Amino acid sequence: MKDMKKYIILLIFAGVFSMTQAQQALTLYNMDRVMQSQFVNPSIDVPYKLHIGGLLIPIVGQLPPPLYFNYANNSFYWNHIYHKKPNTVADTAYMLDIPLFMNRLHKNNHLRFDTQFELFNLGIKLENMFITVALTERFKYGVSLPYDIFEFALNGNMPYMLESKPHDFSGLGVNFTHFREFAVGGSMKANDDITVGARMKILFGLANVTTDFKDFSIYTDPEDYSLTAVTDMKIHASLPIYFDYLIHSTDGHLDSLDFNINELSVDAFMADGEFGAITKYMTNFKNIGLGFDFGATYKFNPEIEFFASVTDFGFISWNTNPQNFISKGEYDFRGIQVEVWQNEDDMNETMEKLVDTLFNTFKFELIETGYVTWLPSSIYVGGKYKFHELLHFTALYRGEFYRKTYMQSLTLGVNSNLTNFLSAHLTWSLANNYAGNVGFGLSARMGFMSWYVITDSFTNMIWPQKAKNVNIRMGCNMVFGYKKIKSNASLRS
Amino acid sequence: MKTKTMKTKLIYSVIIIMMMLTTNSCIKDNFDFNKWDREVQYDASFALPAAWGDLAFIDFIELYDSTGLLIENQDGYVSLQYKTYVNSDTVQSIIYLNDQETSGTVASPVFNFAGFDDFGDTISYVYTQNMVFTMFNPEAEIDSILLKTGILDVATNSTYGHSARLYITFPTVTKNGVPFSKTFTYVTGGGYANSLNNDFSGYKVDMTQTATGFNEIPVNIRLTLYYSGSSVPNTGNLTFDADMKGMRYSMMHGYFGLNTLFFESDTIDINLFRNDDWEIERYEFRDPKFNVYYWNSYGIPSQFYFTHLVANSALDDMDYNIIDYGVGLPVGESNPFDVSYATVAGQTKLDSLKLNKTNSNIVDVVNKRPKWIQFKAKATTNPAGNNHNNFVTEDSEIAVEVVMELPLWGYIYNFNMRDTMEIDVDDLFNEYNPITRALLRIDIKNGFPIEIFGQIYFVDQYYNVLDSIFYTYQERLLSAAEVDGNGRVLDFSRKVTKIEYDKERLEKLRGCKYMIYGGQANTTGANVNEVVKIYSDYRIIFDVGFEVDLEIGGNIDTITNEL
Repeated sequence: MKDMKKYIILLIFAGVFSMTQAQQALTLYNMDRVMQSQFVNPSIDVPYKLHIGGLLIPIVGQLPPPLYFNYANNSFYWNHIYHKKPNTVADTAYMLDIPLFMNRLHKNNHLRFDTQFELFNLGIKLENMFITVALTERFKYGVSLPYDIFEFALNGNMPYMLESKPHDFSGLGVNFTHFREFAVGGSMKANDDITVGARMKILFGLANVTTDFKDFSIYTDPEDYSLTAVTDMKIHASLPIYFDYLIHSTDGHLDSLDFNINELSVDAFMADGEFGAITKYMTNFKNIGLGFDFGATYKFNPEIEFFASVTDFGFISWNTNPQNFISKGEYDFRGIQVEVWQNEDDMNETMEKLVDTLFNTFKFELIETGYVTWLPSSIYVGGKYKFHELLHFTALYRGEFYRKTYMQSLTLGVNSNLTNFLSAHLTWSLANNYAGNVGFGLSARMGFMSWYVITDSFTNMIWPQKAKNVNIRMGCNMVFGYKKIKSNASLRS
Repeated sequence: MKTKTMKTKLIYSVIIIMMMLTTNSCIKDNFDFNKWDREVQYDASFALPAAWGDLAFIDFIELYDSTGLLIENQDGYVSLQYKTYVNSDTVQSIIYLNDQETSGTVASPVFNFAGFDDFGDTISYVYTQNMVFTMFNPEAEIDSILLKTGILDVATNSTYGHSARLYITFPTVTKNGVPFSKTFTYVTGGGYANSLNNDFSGYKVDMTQTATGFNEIPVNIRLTLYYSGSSVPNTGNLTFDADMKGMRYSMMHGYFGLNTLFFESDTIDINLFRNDDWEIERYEFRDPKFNVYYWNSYGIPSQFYFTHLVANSALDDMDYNIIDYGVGLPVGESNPFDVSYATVAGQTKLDSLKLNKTNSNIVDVVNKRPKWIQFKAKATTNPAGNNHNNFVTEDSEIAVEVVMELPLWGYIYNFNMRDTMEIDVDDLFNEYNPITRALLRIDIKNGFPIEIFGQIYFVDQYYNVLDSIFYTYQERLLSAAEVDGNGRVLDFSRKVTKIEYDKERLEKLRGCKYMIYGGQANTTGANVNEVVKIYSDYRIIFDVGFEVDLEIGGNIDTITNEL
């Protein structure tokens, strides 16, 4: 009966969607002394009875402020573009290396940024369950650049033309999302071997600009060099202000196009002054979203554990000044059409006709209805081997769906709760198509203050010119009721 | 112990890692652009469409429609035509109204003064005299005139002692049915009485009411004397003088006699043969036509004939007469053409005379490569003699248009042209010219039965050939479409021409000062005199594109300055 109750509670948590950020947390995943590990590993066992933290908590929340920053690039780093010339010691010994840069590019290249400010977090251990509540301000932004854009600009269109291949720019994209999440989660022991966890989050969208390009390509015909352009593009925006987009045309002839910020919306937004505008922006509850994640840990034997989690399955519905700019069309450009012109006016009319045709084919239509954005989902699968009471080895596989790209990483880690007050974690990750990620995590507790600093690639901080991934997480929690988790390692003290 | 050792090792590892975090190894240099060697290398190749067209011959016909150079003829294919247009002299300069004058005297002997001896007595003398009009042509016999403008001045003088009154009436000069008349009054002792600038506009003058029946109008004169006293002698006379001047007609009827109208055209320039920029080795126009169109709004039978109808040959610069083979080309006074004429005022009759290969020597004339054609002509009225059905209006005219039509049915062999143009190629040799290769691709689907060859030579200041754009003597740029037995095109023919220049080939043009370009065209099968027809629905479809290889390498500051 007790088990049944547990399962029901578990299902409730699992059944209610919660949104978790698609954050990269390869080192954090196994840091059980840092409560924030529950963000990515809902079933992790945290050794405190109570923890509190967040920016809103005096002193604890400011020294240091609980923030997370992540930059990830799945294809190139700085030295692929600009690096020292081999065997050169001159003052001007650095070069631009476009061929190397091109060689490193993937079909779709994503430059992603993730910034989070934890406003508040609370965790309470109840018998067999651990309940968490958190309020976090999140910013996700980035740009995606398809390989073909660089190919077109740097090599021209002839190489693809000779292969009868189109230039595919559909991977081009921009994304900016600012939202606040309120999360409630919990984990519990289903039995001696299995621990499960789930989190439900309510999301409050504050600002969004996102692109959705299903098709954007240019094909050069090898027969006659004609260019066929195809678009199927959407640009969504939900902002405190909105844009005026007016097309003035007569019988298909473009007279003028107006695209400006609507001054009335700016005036309405700023009506109560700057502080009022900020308050209005930060307390916008019209864009609601939901999400969930869940995880489970299975003790195979006293030394070996397996764990898995799925995170970030969720969405936000944008309803504040929603504007959707949609373009869909196809045009075959064969050059300027030569006609029997009687005078210069006839020639100008031909040119105007071409402009009108291009405009009417590709013009953006504006639809002002709400829209939904989905956040990228992640899968974590891994295992832990407790070699020694103080030394655990972990392996973690992460897969993430991001804008038509499936990105994977593999992390091998060495984790040690050195003392009751200090734990250190070292990871090596093959992530973002780069094998030079050496991560480091440290948590230190003094009394009821527990500090943490974590990075998945500290080597990239030392050598930023070789960084495809830079991230850092830091903060401080107030923790109470520490109880050491017994380790059934192969080697004991 | 083991745990302690393990612990110690781990702690030291952490410390080392922390130290490494604070180590900065040459980070700054990697982001210092002052260390950049500023060398750039850019290699790209682009293929782009430049222009395309799908042109039908009908579009050119419509373009030249207003000039009449290209037309769709009655047989459904296209003709070149050259024309000139000439009007006759204005009708008012040939058939006009002179100023007219009539006068008279009424002397006292015509009166019977018996019983004229008391105050209140009046005696009158009435008579009619004819006013004879002198006409533009002594043979003219005018029945009526509708005056557009005219002025009548009447001057009189009485020497009668008695007071008098003179009535002058033109009974056949009427406006709205009312005859024109004037009254003059004289006091005792006589005197002058004038009436000047009387407006005759809109009056109809009927000249058929005298015994002659034409060219005259009756003038009724009535002089009344009023007894003015015994001391007044019964002698005297009265003279009058009536002048009609400034007369212009709206319409005139009658017989206008034999009048001659002269026509002299400008030359009809046949630019196809006249232009010095090209030559044609051999050609044939199967059915050239020479058409003469007349527009006649005179209501007068007329005859028309050419006094001079010649073509000047571009071959030998001699004049060749265009003659007919007995159909009746009106050349010379002995062989005039009866021109249709209007039968109702305001009507214009159109008539024409057409010469072709069956009834004239036009084919031979065209084969002489006529640079121009010119004609002089005359028209004479009333060749059949007296006919009182003639009429003219103020706008009457005879106009003539002469059209040389060359239906595009035949062949042209070796239409060739050549010209020279000065060019400056210095910019091509700029060290930082990024173009290393350029290729122009011209793809033509030709629906015309015409093939074109071309070549361009690049020469230096001494006209030494440095390079030619094609490696053959003349490159076929356009393949002629195939034709059926009737000369009509069966299908398009396609030709793709590529002109490529790379840096190595461009080097040959160093020192080039002039470009000599030339071309040659033939119709399909012209070498064996095969004939073709050009229809208005023939089309030509073309696509022009280019490939270009760009290469920019070197110091970016230098490149930027140079570009």
